[in-house]
Amino acid sequence: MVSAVMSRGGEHASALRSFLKRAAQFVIVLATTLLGLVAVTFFIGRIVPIDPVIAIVGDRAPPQVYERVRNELGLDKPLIEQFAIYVKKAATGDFGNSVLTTNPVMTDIANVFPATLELATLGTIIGTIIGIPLGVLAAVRRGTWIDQIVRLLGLVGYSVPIFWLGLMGLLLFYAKLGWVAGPGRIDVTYSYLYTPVTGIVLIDTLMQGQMDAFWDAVSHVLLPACLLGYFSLAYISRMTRSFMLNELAQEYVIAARVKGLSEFRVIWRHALRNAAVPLITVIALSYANLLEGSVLTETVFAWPGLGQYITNSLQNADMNAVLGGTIVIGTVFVLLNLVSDLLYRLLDPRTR
Amino acid sequence: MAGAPPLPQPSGLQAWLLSSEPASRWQARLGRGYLGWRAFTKNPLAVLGLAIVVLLILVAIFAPLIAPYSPVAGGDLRTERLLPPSETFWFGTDDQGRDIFSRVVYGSRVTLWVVVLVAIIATPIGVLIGTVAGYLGGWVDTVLMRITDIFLAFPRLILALAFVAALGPGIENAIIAISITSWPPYARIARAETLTVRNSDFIAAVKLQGASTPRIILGHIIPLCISSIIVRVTLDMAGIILTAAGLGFLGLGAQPPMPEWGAMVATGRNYLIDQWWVAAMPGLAIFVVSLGFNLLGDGLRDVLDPKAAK
Amino acid sequence: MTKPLLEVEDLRVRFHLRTGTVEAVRGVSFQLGRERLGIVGESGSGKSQTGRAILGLTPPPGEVTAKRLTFDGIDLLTASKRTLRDLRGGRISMVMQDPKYSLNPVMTIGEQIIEAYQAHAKSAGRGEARDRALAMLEAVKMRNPERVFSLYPHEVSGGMGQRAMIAMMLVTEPDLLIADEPTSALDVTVSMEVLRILDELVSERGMSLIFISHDLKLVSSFCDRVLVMYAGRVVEELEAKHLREAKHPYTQGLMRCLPTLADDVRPLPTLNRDPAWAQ
Repeated sequence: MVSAVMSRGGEHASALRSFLKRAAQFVIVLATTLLGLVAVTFFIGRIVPIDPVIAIVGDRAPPQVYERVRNELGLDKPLIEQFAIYVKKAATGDFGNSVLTTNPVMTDIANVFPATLELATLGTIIGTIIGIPLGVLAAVRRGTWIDQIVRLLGLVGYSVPIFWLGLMGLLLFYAKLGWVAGPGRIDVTYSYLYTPVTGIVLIDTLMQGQMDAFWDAVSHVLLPACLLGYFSLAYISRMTRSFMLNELAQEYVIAARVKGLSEFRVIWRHALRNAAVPLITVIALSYANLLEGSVLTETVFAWPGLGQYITNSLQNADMNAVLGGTIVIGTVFVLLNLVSDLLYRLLDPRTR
Repeated sequence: MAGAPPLPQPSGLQAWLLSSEPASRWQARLGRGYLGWRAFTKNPLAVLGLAIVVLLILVAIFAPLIAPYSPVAGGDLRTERLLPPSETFWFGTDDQGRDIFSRVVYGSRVTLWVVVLVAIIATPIGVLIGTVAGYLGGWVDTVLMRITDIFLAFPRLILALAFVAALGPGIENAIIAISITSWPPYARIARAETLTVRNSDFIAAVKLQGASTPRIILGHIIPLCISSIIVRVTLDMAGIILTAAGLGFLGLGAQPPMPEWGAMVATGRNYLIDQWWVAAMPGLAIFVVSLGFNLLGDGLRDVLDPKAAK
Repeated sequence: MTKPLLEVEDLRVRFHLRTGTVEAVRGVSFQLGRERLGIVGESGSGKSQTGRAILGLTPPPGEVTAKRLTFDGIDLLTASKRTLRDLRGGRISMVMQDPKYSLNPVMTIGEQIIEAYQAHAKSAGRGEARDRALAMLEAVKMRNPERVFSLYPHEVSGGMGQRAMIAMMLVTEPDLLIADEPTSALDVTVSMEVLRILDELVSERGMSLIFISHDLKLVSSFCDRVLVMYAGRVVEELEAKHLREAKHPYTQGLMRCLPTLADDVRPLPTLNRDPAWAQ
């Protein structure tokens, strides 16, 4: 938003120039980070002690076959050229083919990514809906039992291993109480009742009116989503509390009370409105953290997402798949950080 | 305050430590340390954290004396498999007939080993990169910080996974992988601290005395960063333990029969429903140790950097 | 003698801290009618806390006690939270020191004025509130009220911000205005302008004013009566025009320290504090 004081053409031009300059810097930073991401994975790929050629042709192949495959893989070219080719391929999403499934890695990833997105999104929603009010309450009632509970939740959230908590959750809620379904995304019996369209089972079953399948999917996603939701709310409530304590000590809060506004309005309309600015960044970061947390969660719950894809590929020494998955997650991470940055600028009128 | 009773006068060693005119640098240092200790012990949670960490160290050192059975030798597969917790086997036995309590006890060595090594490897790297970048500025700063940001752009577990995938599973590779992903935050902190002191007068004074750049960085700037780095490293240790356990859970850390807690939980996963103790006990150990480091780190932060505490 | 608007008797404000109890206000008493009262003191004299106590906004862990604290007959110490909220902003208002901090940075100026109005004119619609807000902005001599209405606080200068604050606090037409160092954050020419506007508005609307400041000269020229505070107590109370006849040594010392353009006293006199003043 261009400052309201401007009215002349010359000033418009200089504002435009500074905006372009900032945008250019921004793009450069983004490009170098992504390039660096690819470089790191390229490097990782090269330190593999296994000879990739032998992995394909076997160790009893005649020298000509070995040479031919080596040339095909481009391993005879100088390292810089190999890197350039790698970058070009990565930019177009070509991560090679998976050794295991023989599909292009990108296709595999596109198949499994929605499942991870589903978990991360649900988890973040739970974390936000519960975490923000908890954090506000803890700040407003500082030192009371609710404050202690929020801090305890946060402490446990930073200390407990997610895979262990997930297993204990399965033990309690699935095995002993039978409240939710077990590992997996949906019961085999229901999986034929709908056609995957978006890749997200909840949406697909709902759209196609398959209510039995829908409720079964809900019962499967509930526990893993709540698990991730817990970690999200531990983080979000802690940060909300911190930001709120900061805002409640400001002069404008006193001024709002002077105006005779209700305490409710002072807290939500004034203090939280201000705390919301850095809080949005926190929510975006929490989403990114959940993507990381889903790796272990998916293993525990046999959830067919990107995390499980990477760990399976790992155990089968499918380096193309592992590196492809790493680049994808890294890119999403970078993009999320970017989005949170942009949101911050948009929401705080002082930085526009 | 008029009317308040006079404070009891400290005597002997206390008086010496609290003296407002210390006779030597050592006396001053010890005095400061004593005051810090008193502030630290006012916080019961911090003391609990310290107790847990000390317990971990003691258990690791005296493992052979504490553990009643061997952590690797399996018991009789016909009669001693998957027994529930009892007087003979405090945490029960696993699928190989091994006593879980002994394995958890010996597992503390693995955990301590990982934490100490990662701290020793990652911290100097991070601090060095951060201080050099902050002090020299210019393109050195830009390049080093871009590299740091690139490593920060990866989620820690994923990057460690990728490295272990490349290097092969094993505890040493896991340690290397975790170290590689741990140094960036330390670099950031060190750089931030360096930037605040870079232009101060005493640095200028040392420069005028002819100190070389390495000497300034090593001898003057790094000591100033130490307290915030220590806090950060301690708080990070919980995360390192969790990452190492995560790698172990995925089968990428310590290899069997090494009693690594994460790997033990993975074994227990197969017997979760009926023999829950196989997974529950080692996981509990991970939780408690992580908690201890978090409490200790919080306590240290309250003492060393009160502005950050809330 | 008409009944005074505000009656304060033996007001005490204590803060119970872990290291002990601090008494910021130690037995302040005064009465206020339809007049302008100045409260002068240095930092730590308790003048700001007196103002906050009247509004019931002493920050925790503060404790307010008094033999009498009434506004227009209403006992402020025993009044319900509801009553206090209605009084605040509606009948007693406060202009604070620095508009950079005392205005909400994420709301437009217009929004904040409307909010103040609608908090007390419960049945007012948005259109009416907007008209009132614009009228108020005109009353504080904003050159382009419509434009300022939609600006954010950081987009206006210090003087404009303070005038916006005055507009916001006076839009409900309160009976009593407490001005807590209203010009301390502004430079001289701007503060003169703001004071002129304040003067006009207070006179026009027949408001009572409590002007809190550290600037003795300013207060004496602006107010009818002056209270001089030191270490939580009122050490002197006199009419502004009789300031030269001040009896307490602290006030006399303050008057002596004020440099004038006419005299050439070197070195500039300073205050010699007598610990007896703090008793």
